[in-house]
Amino acid sequence: MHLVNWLIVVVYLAYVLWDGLRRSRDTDRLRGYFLANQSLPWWAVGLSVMATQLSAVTMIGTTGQGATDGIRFIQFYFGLPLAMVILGVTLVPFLRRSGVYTAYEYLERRFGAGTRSLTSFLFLMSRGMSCGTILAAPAVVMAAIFGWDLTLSVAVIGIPTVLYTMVGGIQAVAWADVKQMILIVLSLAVVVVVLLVKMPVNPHDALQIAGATGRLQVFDFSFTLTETYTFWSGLLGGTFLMLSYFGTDQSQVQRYLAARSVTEARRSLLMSAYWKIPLQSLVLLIGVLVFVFYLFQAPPLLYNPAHEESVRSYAPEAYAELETQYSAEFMARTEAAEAVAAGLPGASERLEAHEAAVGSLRSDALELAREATGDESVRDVNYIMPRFALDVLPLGLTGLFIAAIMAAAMSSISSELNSLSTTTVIDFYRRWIRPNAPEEHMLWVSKLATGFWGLFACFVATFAATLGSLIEVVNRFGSFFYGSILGVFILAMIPKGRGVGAFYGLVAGMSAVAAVNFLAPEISFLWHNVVGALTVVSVGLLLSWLRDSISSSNRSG
Amino acid sequence: MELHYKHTARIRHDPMTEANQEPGGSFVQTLIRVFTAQAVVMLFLWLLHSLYN
Repeated sequence: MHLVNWLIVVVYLAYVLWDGLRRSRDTDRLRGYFLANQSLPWWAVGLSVMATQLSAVTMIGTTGQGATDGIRFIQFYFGLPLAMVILGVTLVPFLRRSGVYTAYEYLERRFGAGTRSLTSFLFLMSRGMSCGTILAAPAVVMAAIFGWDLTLSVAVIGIPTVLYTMVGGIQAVAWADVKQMILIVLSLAVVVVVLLVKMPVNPHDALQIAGATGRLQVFDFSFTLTETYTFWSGLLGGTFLMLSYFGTDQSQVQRYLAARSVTEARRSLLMSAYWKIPLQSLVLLIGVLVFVFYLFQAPPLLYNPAHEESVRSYAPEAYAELETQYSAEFMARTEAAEAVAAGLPGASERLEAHEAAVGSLRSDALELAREATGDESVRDVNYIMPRFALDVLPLGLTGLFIAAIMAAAMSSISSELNSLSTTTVIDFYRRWIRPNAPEEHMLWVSKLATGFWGLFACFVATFAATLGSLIEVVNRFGSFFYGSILGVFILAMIPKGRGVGAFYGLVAGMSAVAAVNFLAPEISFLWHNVVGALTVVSVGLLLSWLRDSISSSNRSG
Repeated sequence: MELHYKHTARIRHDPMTEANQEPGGSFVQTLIRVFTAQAVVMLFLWLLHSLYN
């Protein structure tokens, strides 16, 4: 990468660090460190919520998904606007009025210490590991693209993030998120402009070509539980997932607890309701346009340069043969794409056939990469966008895009570290170990906890690349209880809900999701949240009713 | 326990009251605004879906 691009990346990193550190001056009390003294304006909270959710996986993985699979993934977010409205009216005022630091702290007031400790423990386990995988995703890609050692790559993103989060608390996190979000949107807009300028066909023809390969099929109205992304799974399963994530995950809850008022907290959530789907559509559409662009300008057979190098030395002849076939198929595919743009009859079928042939050659090359590296989890989709940024974006804009990938990663990691620290200190340290410790001591422990979780995330990220299956286990583990925790919060809002119902309902909900996962693995994970939440509420209400019945019969007896 | 229950029951009624007192911010009005905005986005996606497939 050119020196100017590196300079942009370095300036970005230095600015984020400086800005985060200078915000530490208002965080000399626990309330300032974890809740920003409830002083944040709604737009800052809203941008912070969106930046937390938009990780580097969105920048590199979702664009890659748009390029390979089209924009149907957008259906995943169809439940989000409804979820935000529901949360704005129900959970947000509940949590704000109860004056808590964490969502789980509220559960103790309602159901007792057992439910609080179990939910916060599950949050720490899941988020602690996922924080590592969020850091690993861009680190692995950057290590491959720039030829860095993975540890260096993790350190470049991880260390500045841990430092400003540790010193500045939520003030630093939220205001850094605002700037990072602006940088991300700016870089996406720049990529769109560059794509439109450099595209050899006009936008209408580009969409025509994308449509011919099925990449603009947004809606799938089939009601099947086994298909992950359908209109119905997005609308129903997605609503439950978004309610769980935005309503019960401390990394999100803490944002709106830091807003100035209930109204401002509610407005910040509505920002996501309005803008998440358009923004995500833009990200996916960029992927689709990158795909069309690469129909006219030959991309490498393997997007990951490290894999390309490994395969060249492992099986040079086989790879050379694949490259020859790929060149021929690429030419034929370009001609078919031009025919689609010209509206020639039968061109779409030809394009589809050549696209399938190119896809098959790519699969063969990936198989060689798996053999060469001994890694069964080798995929190429995450390298499409970074490779496009390095090869196609003009001088300066490449640096801007790489800085935006880092910003996306840092904005998610910082929020998670801050929420992990809050839960560790408030739900465990202050609750069980030192309830009456002075404020200064708590603040010191909070910073230490942020540092600990930062190191933990860096450690997980360093090993995540070689533990592909572990990442899958972590994700599955998370999906076991997301819906179930939502069920506990729903139960909390039902006056007849009792502590015994919440605790054992949570255990039953997680068991039900585990049973669905192992006995019917073909069912899409989006439905797990529905199963978990409904099981907790029904079992919880049943046990609560039983407890009340036994109590009243004992009293009358 | 009884005190906790009363406390949460009291909180429980506040959200709706506040949502209705907020200028132009009743639940139904908010819902209409959000879904109108989403309808525009969906229309755009539907046009992409039907015009180019």
